[in-house]
Amino acid sequence: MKAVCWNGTTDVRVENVPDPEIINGRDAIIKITSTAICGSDLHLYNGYNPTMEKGDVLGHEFMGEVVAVGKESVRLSVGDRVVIPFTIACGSCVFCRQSLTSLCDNSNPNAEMAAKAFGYSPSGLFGYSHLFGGYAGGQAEYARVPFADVGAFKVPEEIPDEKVLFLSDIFPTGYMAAENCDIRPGDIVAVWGCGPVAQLTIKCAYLLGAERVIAIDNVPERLEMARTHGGAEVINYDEVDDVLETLKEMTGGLGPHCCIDAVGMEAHGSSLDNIYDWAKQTVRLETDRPHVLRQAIQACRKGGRLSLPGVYSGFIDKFPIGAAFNKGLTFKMGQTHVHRYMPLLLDLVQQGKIDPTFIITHRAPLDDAPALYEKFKKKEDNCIKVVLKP
Amino acid sequence: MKTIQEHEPQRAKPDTARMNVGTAERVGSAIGGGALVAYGLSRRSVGGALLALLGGAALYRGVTGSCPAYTSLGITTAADDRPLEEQLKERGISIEKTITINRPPEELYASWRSLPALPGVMGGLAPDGRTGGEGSRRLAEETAGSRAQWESMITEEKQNELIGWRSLPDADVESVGSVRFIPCNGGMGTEVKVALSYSPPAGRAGDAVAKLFGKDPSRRLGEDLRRFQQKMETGDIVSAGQRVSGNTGSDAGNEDARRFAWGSRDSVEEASWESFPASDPPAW
Repeated sequence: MKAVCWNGTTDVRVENVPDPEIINGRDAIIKITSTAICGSDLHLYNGYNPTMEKGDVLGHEFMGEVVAVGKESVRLSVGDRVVIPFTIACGSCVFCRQSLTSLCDNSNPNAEMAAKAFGYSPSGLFGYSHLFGGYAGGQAEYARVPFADVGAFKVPEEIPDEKVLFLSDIFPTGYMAAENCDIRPGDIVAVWGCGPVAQLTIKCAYLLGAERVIAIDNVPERLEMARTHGGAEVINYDEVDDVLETLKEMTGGLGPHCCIDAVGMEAHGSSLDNIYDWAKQTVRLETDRPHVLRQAIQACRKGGRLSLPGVYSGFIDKFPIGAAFNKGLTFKMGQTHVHRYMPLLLDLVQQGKIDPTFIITHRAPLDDAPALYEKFKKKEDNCIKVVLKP
Repeated sequence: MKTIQEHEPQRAKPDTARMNVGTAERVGSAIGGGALVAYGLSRRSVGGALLALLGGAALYRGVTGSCPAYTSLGITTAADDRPLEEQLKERGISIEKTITINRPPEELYASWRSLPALPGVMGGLAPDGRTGGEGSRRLAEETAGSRAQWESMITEEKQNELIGWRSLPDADVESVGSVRFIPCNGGMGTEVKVALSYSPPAGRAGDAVAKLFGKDPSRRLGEDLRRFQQKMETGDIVSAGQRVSGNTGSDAGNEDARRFAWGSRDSVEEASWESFPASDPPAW
């Protein structure tokens, strides 16, 4: 089959690889009908994960049709139309039992490696390096889905792919990001980054009761999307002198109640601290560039709440713990417990409350993936979200 | 036989208090030392006094069986008749790991007891010869062409609580170990505690054992226990499947029915209970 394979930093290729096979009784094989490139794929593309290996199949946002099931998979049948959560979960460990499916104890075959890095291992992930299990991803014609009886989420035939594809990752991620900052009626929510997750977070923040949402970025078309589709007030950080002062002015001198870092470890920006981070990250003295996180902590109202959907992988420097401590901030973060949110969000789509298709800017066959990775990385051609059709 | 609880790591007794001089050497040391003391004292000179002191030291080690010089050099000529677990504590490798499994102790105990092979943990207990809860089982662990005979016997069992084992005297790998099952998590889950000490042999058998455990025996044990947890909680050993690398597949044909005709074939070929623990440590 054809698959998008990682071959090194900024080097992805469409290659012929062996078809996936059923290995365990609860597996299913999916013929992929739609698959997307995620912002977090760019972290791999840019070479920030040392456990990627040449030939690894990328992709963790995909859906399709079941073409084979293991003998123990009683819930699924050949022909079912399913969306696959990017976190792999067994459904029976103590973490899955609490709906913390991105923390599944059993789904990462390389758990000992991850436990060395993080103390304990999170769940396995599709197409996201060997640290997270080394599973082949979904930017391919077919994929093997382990624990498919728990993960594969059946969707009705009548809804088009594009309306449900993002249930696999960014829609639940956007929702959990908003939920994680415990929005109360009247709250002002600031969102750093206007990528696909942020666009959906803005919508979910309003849905959960936010009075105002302020979005911060420097890419004009993304800010425009946040304004027109999301109804957010926007700050272009290239056009204001000081984001902190601007936010303070916009919030009656108190700061936003909730701050959401939807950027993560590869923050851009021209401030002094970001240049310092960029230099250290380039020589691998620091794994992550936490410029946005620092700014969000500084900007947050006293007693406020921070939510981090943006991916962090390793270590950061100059973490303003004093500001966080003395303002009594609350932090919530983590990979999304996708399984937990899928039924609720499908409902929202079916009721017409949210239609996530507005973020899609590019549709292309699998063969175009390498060019689109580059375009997405450089934000050329107004690229915000790429959907591939294998 | 000591009870398993006593296998728990404990601070080693001070070495100076231990006998490290063999019996024949002690007799010789005592007689020679006594003679030197008598002769030295009879000389009534400085040299004689020094000889007497030297003789006193020899007499001391002969009588007590403990030689400070041997201790500082790590030498012993005494036969070590302490229990194997104590010996291995000192000269072997001891590891301990605990995991929590979301199943009741009875289930875990029964499954552990019926495991065909747990080479990383118990040196492998073959299912044959299991009568009355005790017996010796033999596993030939084959690793890269060399074999280590690793015979173990169950030394202690408490239903649903613990299993203790040790290697038989002629085993290539001397080992003792235990696994305990402790209910937790409101009765839903179980802490599984494994304590293991082993002494790697020299030569080809040693190579096999080294390969089996890898550079990091603690990590190997951790991986084995994770697989046990996976099997117990999910029914399967998880696997990322075949190593996919580019341009090795054929692109001939696209007909799903033909491609996936094996959809209902027997599962679990690469990772099976029989091959448990199946995979090698990740290459990274």
